[in-house]
Amino acid sequence: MNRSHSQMSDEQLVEAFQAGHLAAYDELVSRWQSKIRGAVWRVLGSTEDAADITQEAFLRAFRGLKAFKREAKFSSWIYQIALNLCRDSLRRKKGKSYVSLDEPEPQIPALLSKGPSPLELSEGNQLADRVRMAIQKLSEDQREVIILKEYEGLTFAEIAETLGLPTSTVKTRLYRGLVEMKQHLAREGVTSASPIHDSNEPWDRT
Amino acid sequence: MTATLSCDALRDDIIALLYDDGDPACKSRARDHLAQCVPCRAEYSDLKGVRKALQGWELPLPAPLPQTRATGRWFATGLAAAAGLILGIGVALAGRSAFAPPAIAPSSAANAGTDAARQFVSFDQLQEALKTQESRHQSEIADLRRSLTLVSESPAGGASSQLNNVSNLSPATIEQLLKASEARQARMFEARLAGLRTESDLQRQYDMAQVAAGLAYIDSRTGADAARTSELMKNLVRVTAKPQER
Repeated sequence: MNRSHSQMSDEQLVEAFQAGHLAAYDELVSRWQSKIRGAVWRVLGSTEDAADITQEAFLRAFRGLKAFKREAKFSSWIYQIALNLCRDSLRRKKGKSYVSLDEPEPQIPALLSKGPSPLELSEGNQLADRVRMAIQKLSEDQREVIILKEYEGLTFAEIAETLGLPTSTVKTRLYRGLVEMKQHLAREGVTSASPIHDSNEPWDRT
Repeated sequence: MTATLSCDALRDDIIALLYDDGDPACKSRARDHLAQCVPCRAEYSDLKGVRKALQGWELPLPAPLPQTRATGRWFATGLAAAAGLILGIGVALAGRSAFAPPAIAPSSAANAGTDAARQFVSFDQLQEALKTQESRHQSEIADLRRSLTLVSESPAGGASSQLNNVSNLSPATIEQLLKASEARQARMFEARLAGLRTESDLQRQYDMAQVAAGLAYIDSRTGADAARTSELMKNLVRVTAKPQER
């Protein structure tokens, strides 16, 4: 059963699950969990909560998969769930950044989320850290599009499906996000944001 | 040439070219435009630079998630955790609830679950190894018996006289002794298997107790976590209700 599951497409696995083969979900989880977790890490800008949100996303998908309409791609759907959870999480943290009378606990998570932990600083390479900080300065909309395109390798059509937007809007957000990234990176002192001329294009050959 | 309205109109095409994601006509339009428009060409190069910088953000190596394929199946992990909880409740009901929380960090309950799963795997391997050993011994015994039968059938042979020098036992006695030895070995294997089984059961019970203690600890931490755990359990119980589908 498992061997045949591993050879099935996502669509076939969803179909099998909906027909009552719950173990098909196992294959979907193992196929997508590391990608989803990577996207969640990047959107949140920290490894904090990423595993929890990923797990929660797959749990929600498990609950909703029976009713899932197969016109959409499973991958787009699971990205959508994970991104929604990320937005909720970021909003909650933003809400916690001021002192609340209802919540006497110290706002440690909110403070930590403002920057990398000392461990992250010492372990991560500098460029990665600067890029991470620059991406965090983008709006959520731009950040999501850049992450889905640049790191998750989704097509414009897939991003459009995931975010429920027209493809042209996805491209516009991506363009604006990249332009802003250039400015943020320059402020962070990342020199590789300077113009690069490669010889792949005809106008560079002259 | 300065940026014109047509530059804005061609932005989607330029993005399609930048990511090599779009139909050839779009990309060709973008190429044609870039060949003529200096500002757009400069911007295109900038965007390529940004893309290159973005690639510098590599994620640290991920810690293994509880539900990876290598450590156990998603459902199996959850079920192990659920089983741990049920066992914990059972133990508590039986009046033996006073087990102290084990001296482990109350790490992921699912991790403890996979430890239990790993325990089963190694037990299977042990059982397999014992079976192989037993069959090897059986074949050795069979070989020995065959050679003895040959000896008893040809008492005049040199080998037989040599054997008779070694022992005055009759072949029938030897066979009896062999049978006794074989039975003894079988009993020994049985006992070892039973011992291993008990040991493994105890280990499993301990692991499950750890899982239960971990869950109890998590429950006591926050209400939200408790709600999530119970939600997870609800789903898992639903899954366990149809064991034939697993």
